[in-house]
Amino acid sequence: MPLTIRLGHAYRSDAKTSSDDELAQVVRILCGEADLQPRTPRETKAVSDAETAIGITSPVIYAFVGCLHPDLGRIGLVISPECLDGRLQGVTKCDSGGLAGRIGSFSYVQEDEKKDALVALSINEDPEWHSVFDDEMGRSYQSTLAYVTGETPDYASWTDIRVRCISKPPPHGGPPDRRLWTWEVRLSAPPEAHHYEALILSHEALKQLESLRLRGREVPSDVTVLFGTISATGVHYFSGEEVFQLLKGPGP
Amino acid sequence: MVGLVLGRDDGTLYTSGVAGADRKSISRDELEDLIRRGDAFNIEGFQATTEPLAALWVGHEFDAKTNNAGVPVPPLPPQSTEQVAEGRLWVAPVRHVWLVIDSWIVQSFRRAVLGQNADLAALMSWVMPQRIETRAARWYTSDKKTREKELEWWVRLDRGSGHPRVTTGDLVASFDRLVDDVKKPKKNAKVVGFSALAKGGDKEIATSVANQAQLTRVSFGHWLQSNARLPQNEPPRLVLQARGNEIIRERGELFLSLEVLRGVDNLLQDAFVIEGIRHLNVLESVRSVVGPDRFVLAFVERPLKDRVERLQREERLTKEQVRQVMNDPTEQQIPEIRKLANYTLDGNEGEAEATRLVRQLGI
Repeated sequence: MPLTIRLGHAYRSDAKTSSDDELAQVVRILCGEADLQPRTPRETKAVSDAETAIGITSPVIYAFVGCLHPDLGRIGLVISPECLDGRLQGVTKCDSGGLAGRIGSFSYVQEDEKKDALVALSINEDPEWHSVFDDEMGRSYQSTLAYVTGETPDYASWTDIRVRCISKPPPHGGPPDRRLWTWEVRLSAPPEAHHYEALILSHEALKQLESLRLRGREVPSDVTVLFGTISATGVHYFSGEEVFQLLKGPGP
Repeated sequence: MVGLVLGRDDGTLYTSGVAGADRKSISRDELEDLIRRGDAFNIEGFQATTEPLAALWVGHEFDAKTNNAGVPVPPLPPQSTEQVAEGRLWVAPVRHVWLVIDSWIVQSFRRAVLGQNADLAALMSWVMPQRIETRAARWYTSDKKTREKELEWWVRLDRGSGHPRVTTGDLVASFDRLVDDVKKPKKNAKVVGFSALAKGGDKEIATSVANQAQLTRVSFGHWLQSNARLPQNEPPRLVLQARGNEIIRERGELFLSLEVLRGVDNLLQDAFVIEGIRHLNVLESVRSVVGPDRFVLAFVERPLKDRVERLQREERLTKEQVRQVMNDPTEQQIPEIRKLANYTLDGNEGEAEATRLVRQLGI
């Protein structure tokens, strides 16, 4: 069965690009006038370590399976899994950069364990990887939606190092970070314009889109546009029900 | 409205003002990345509180345009406002930031519709493009071609956001309702503010007006009373004056005003009475939040000797304490407020003056 869950990519250009230009560039990508580029990682060393361990030799585009991260992102892209055809570099059963950098609860992985852990948790260039993913979904979550909304999995049947990280209390308190168990997928080439299904914007980014739109720049009509908002409870980012439904895809 | 990242005593960082992720830990790397990319400003010097905080961002260009349009932003307290190159950031409880934004949208909508003001309607998009009032204002002030284009876009957004069956007709009907509501004459949703010097009689007249017109009454004195510990051996008025001064010094007049206005259920729609206005910036804060077109100020006067006599008799203050009350900073701006009053009432004629005011205002 083909993968139905969608890929989430939190778009970030390089730090020199203004936020207005950043959104304009995303609209160009959605219109097929530009390509999504591999971005410079925030934790350069961690990502470089992870890429070396996993055997990545040229820049890749990162996305999460069924998740848009970070919470404070401005622009999110929901991408059809069809884009993986001919572009799949590999997947990892968690955030590879977080693990390589031993960030947050990944700090429970010892320095000398992380390379083997990364290799054990990664599947490279195997188009059937999603049967492993589906198996984990079936064993660990009540539903696909539960995975998409970031619920902590039932990891009783798991045997890998993620168990240690999830089961111990997060070093800085609060709930465990979903990047401990959310699958990462890596593309060796950018998706095509028709693979982009939705544009998810923060409230601030929506205002910038309005400004672009009033100057005649349109988002292609087959791309769903969702947006965060503000209310008496604060700023709402990428976590609305509609976003989860889109990421879940048409499957059960 | 923008969220904040605040520091804990142990040096770790957490988010504030982010719905569903309040007090969520964030790494220093993540924060530095946000700052580097211009998605976050580094601001300093604010005391975090236990309540969720957010910031109101007001750009200079927006400030100028909204002032020109006659819907100014309330006076933002300097002690919680950071000036940056492109504008200002006011750090405040999330509910306060929201109230200021919400009231700006509602007032701007009224003004845009009544004045056929397309520029103000466009400015509303800078604040909340997805709000129905913003769409309705844009629709109402646009030409036919623009209307059609905008309607298509809004339908597309709504269909993606969980309303798959919405039509342009549905939107037009909801816009019509909102516009009609603004245009049709309806029962006066006046807000009557009262000010007076100590023991001037504003409380009595405000109470009487509220009773006669069956309006909600909120009071700065009441709010302070319920938020200050009153020592048994100190005259309450002196304690409340000190507490009010302290709050204004620490958090500003807008904070105090918004706290008092929380006592009104439907602040942006209902008529109500607010009593105990004693600072110019409090007056300006209240007036701008409720809308200048709804607000009237009544000043209540009573001769000095009567006020002194009442302070001594009713509040059992000594001569020295009376002198303290009258010299308190709370009393110093009242003569200026008096000059701005729409009505001046006689505090010694409480009931009759209240009746006269209710009749004059038609409330």
